[in-house]
Amino acid sequence: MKRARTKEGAYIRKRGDTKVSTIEKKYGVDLGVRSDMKLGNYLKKKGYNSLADMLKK
Amino acid sequence: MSNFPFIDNDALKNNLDTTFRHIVELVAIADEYDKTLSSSFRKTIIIYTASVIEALLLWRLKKKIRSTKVELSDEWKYYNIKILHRIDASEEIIGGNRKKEKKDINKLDFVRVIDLCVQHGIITEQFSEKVHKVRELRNRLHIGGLAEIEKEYTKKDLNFVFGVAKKVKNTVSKEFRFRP
Repeated sequence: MKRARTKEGAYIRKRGDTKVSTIEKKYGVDLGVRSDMKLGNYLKKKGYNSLADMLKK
Repeated sequence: MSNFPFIDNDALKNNLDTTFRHIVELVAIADEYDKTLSSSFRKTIIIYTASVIEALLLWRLKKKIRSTKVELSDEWKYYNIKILHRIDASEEIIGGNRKKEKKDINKLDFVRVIDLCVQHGIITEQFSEKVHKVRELRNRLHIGGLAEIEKEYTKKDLNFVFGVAKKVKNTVSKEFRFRP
């Protein structure tokens, strides 16, 4: 799937692609999953499907 | 990019995104603490999610009503009041005029917003019962009025509130898909 780019050529970051590692560093916690897991997938893994769905457009 | 691209008010869109990001981060970390603190985090999440729901419904209501004032069916302004008979110090029989009061739409409370959304066909009465339940959970932020030790807020409570939020978001955005 072709990803959108800004005028400068950088990939446009989509909602829900925040990585778990960002949260872990920010709050000093270990969420017990792979750090490169996307936050949306992490929320689904925890059973918060509705919230994860709201991360999409 | 916004989680609420259909919102045409930049300030509101920004505020919703900030609140939503906060909710998501709190959910991610809520279970990492002891039982009492995790429950408190969940309560915070519920309060913030309720504010998102309220804001979305109000935004949609304003789109429908297209006026800054709204007439409420049960709010009256009384004037030219005359006391006809004084029963005692705390009760009187009165006569006078009354007129239905128009309220500033931005000053409506949550219960009014829900009821007006039902009245204007934005949400069904059946679904409004769930939104009222979210409102009641949200109102537990007024701990001075609680008669007992606060309950434990669970993942089930969160999923209920998120389910309502998702449905509200889908409902209010139906006619307003993102326009670049």
